[in-house]
Amino acid sequence: MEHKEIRQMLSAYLDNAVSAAEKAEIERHLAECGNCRGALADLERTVAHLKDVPEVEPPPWLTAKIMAHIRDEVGQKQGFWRRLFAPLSVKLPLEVLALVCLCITGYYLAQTTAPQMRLTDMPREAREEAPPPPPAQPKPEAPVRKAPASGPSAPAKKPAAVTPPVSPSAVIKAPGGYAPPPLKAPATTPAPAPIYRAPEIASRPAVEWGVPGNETPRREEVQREKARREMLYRGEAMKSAREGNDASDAMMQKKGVAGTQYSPDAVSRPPMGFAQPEYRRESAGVTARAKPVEVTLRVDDPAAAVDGIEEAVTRSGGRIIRRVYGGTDHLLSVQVEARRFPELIARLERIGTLRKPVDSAGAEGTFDLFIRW
Amino acid sequence: MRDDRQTIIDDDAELVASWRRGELASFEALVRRHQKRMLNIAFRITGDYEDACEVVQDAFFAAYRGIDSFRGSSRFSTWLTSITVNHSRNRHRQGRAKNRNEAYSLDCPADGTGSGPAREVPSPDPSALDRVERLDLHEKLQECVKALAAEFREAIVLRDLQDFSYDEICGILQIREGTVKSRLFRAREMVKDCLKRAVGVL
Repeated sequence: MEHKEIRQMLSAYLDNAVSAAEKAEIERHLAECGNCRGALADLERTVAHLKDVPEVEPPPWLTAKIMAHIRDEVGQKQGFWRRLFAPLSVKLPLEVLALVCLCITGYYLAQTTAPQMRLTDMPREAREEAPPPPPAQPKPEAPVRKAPASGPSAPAKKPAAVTPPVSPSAVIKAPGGYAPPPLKAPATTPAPAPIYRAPEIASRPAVEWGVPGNETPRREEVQREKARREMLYRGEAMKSAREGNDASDAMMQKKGVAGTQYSPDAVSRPPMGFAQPEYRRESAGVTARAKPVEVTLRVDDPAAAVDGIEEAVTRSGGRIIRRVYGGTDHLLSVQVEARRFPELIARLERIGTLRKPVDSAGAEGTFDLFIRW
Repeated sequence: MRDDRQTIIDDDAELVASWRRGELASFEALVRRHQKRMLNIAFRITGDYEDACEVVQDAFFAAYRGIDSFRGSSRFSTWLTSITVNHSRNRHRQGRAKNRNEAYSLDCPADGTGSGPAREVPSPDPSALDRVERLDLHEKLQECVKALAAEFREAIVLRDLQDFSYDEICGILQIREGTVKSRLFRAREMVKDCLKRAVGVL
């Protein structure tokens, strides 16, 4: 190694940070180089002075200040965690209680609305057979009327010879199977008088369209006639009321709507009304009527059109026989005088667009009209 | 050369472990144990006592927050020192930048009250030279160290003032041993020359 290199290594040599070979070489060089010996001595003294430099003392508050800073940090951290999790310990029971309450409410809500959903979703056959149980519940108001309506229970009272065994399909076809359900709604929820009357009207077709050959309709006819008279009376009353006071008229209609509109089984019924008009004609002892006419109306908002259509019917002298207001599909069964039919059609056209041409030619007297929208 | 890389015996290990478990008292004990050394390192590197105090606070705070990054591969003191050196270096850099930016401020003329930057003008006092002469050797040494470039200053502070081993310095400064040796050589030579100029004979 050369002199310059040795000089550079003197610092490390001083710290004994050189290898044994380097150390030997440095010492050999130092023995012969006085310049390097002097440099080493200066270096040693410098390092000695440096090591001798007194240390400064930390201020007495330093530890406290550092720890205060740290505690602030810890406090903030804990505060953060407390904000996140501490509320759990206090509020968790409340939250659980609230959740349980919510679940219970939800369950009861589901209980009240679920049947409706189930009926809609169920296959047709199942839906047809579903209503019989309600008649089993004693209903003091109209027990006689209900009995024949329910397919399976009625034959049990009659001789098999008179009434052929009602097959499930017959039951399905018989709209009579639907008679009791409207009564169910008022039974479960106490409501003002008009609401009780509405189901009676609604149940009427079911009575009329009972299974052919059934003897009980005799009693039914009496009941039906009674109901019809009542209805006629009501219609007249409404008419006179309308002439006198339009506002009360509207109110009455509204009440009627409220009574039947959301009846759970009403929703499942609509298709039947069109399927069996013949039964009605056969069994009904009413004056001959023209073939029922079906009118399909296209409206923007079916729910909002309900009032307008009902008003159009009543203003045209028609009588509302049955209301079937479903979620999207609405059906109104009315009886209207043939001569006033064009007037009703004109009114309906103001509410919406008629989907198919209406032909009422040849109709005389009163005829059935189904308004669908 | 001491070789303590293989078997690290750390007196702080127990306190560190306890602190990791959430014992704030253990951390306080570590602060008490190391604050003086850290303050001296910071003071020699920044050259300012108040700055050094702030550096030490920041360094301990950073250590507290960054304890997860300490894996025990080195001594706790070594790890803490590297934090302190980094903070000191940053502080020194900031201080220099501040001085450079404010030295020629016209809005804030130096009035000796400390609000403005100190302007270096020849002192009219004839006794000033004598005063420098009378300066303590240690103060002269401090001035000489302060005059060094940061990398040399850090090396000489750690080795000659704080007696860290070459290995530890390698770890603290994140440089190779050859670099440590050359930096130390240069730093010592410069301090030696500085001191010779200041006091004549060493």
